[in-house]
Amino acid sequence: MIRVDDLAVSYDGRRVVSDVAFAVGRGQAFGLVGESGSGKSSVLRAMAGLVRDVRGLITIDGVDVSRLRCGQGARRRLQMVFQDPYGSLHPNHRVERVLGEAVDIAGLDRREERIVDALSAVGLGEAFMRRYPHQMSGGQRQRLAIARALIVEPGAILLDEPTSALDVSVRAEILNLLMRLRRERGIAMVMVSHDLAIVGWFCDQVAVMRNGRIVEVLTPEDLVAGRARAPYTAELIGASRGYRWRV
Amino acid sequence: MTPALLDIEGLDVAFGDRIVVRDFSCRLSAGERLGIVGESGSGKSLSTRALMGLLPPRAAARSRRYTFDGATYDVAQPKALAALRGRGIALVLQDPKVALNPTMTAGAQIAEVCGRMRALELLADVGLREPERVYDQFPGTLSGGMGQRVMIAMMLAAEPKLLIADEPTSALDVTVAQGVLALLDEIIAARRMALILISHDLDLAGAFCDQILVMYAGRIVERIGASALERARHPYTRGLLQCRPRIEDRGRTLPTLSRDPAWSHE
Repeated sequence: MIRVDDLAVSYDGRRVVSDVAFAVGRGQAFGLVGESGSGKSSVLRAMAGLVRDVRGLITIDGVDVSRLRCGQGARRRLQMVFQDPYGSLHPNHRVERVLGEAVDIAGLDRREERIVDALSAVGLGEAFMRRYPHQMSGGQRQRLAIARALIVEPGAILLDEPTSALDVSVRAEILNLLMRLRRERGIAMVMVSHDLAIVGWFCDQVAVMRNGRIVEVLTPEDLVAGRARAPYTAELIGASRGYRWRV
Repeated sequence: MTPALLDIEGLDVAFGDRIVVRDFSCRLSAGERLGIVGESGSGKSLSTRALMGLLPPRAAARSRRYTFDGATYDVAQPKALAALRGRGIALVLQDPKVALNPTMTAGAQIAEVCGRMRALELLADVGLREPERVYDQFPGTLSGGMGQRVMIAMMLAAEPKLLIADEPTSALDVTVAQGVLALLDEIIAARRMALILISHDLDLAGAFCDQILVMYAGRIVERIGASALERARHPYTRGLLQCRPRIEDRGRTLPTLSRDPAWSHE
């Protein structure tokens, strides 16, 4: 179980996130939607320990990790996957080194075995071990980024627009993979996306953010039924139903 | 049959030996809207860039026929196509931050084409509330939605007959995108412009256009009326439609596309 309580994030003294609180159980998924600048990515970055000025509580299975550095101790159990896998993988490191380093940094044993397991869990064969990121397609690179998160046995994976750089058919494959990891391994996920259809398909609960705050939390059933209290949520739901020029 | 504004037949585009667009054809009349959809590398952008003579230097193009507004052109002679750009065909790109000149104010870039007074009118026409203020702003200080409105104003300055919009809203927030689409809609209808909308989003193209071309690996694999999109026949189009996540299908495994090599040779 991951809990975020009373979270506040600032950059250079400017508050960008206030009063954010939510909990995600084992194998559950929580979605954050909102327009650019609404603070949704800052919440993820704060959870991963990538931002300095953070206040509030971030606990994983009851252990507060908010004072730990990124990747330190229990914080390692929160892993992040970014939008653009090309930008988040070292261009001169082969797949085996990308994954091997993650194992080493986490101080885990059975390096080779873990690498093979992680690759197979994301549907990449051992043949990929010697490849560089640029020798892989966008979808394969995103699978590698997910393998790197998986290899350290995370409690939760934080997904920042994980499919928006991908073609629609590849997007479906990655979403299926993430769903399978939730079910089979009980990994909790927090997903940031601008696409309500994706978040509604993937998550158990969806928080709508505006100006650094959560304005409301909905279930996918609420989204389908168009039950929104905040006007901005109604606008988002309307936009997600697509553009209609001939009514 | 109304006379075609654009008539292109048998367009090929190649980088050396590698053919990236093969046998592209389409006809479009004033006021018509055509959507071109496909995934990255399908050739949807290159085929329309060839019409404007805007291919990368290493690319070569040829076609059996190319007429625009009654005159004949040759896609293999890109220099001559410069005459078409602006007043004939205008292009709106995905990201205004890249497409606008960062060292000139938004207004000055538009005024290059039509003068200050008209530029201010156009900025008001595209729904910018303070045209005088936006006129003096540099592109870097504009939001995504404002930047895209400035791009549209600049395109309108030359009064083109055909607008090519290449992923015009992909870089925008969904709610902002709705406003930009409504604006494009209004402008196209009021001026009876023809539109080619290039998008990876089948739903958007279906909602905005009359006809849809689906491209795969450089070829048009299906031509279909937008209203018949849900009844598409080609397995690729069907695959694209089915693999969209829908909230109603919560968590149910999404169908994935198995690509048939034969699609590239049909």
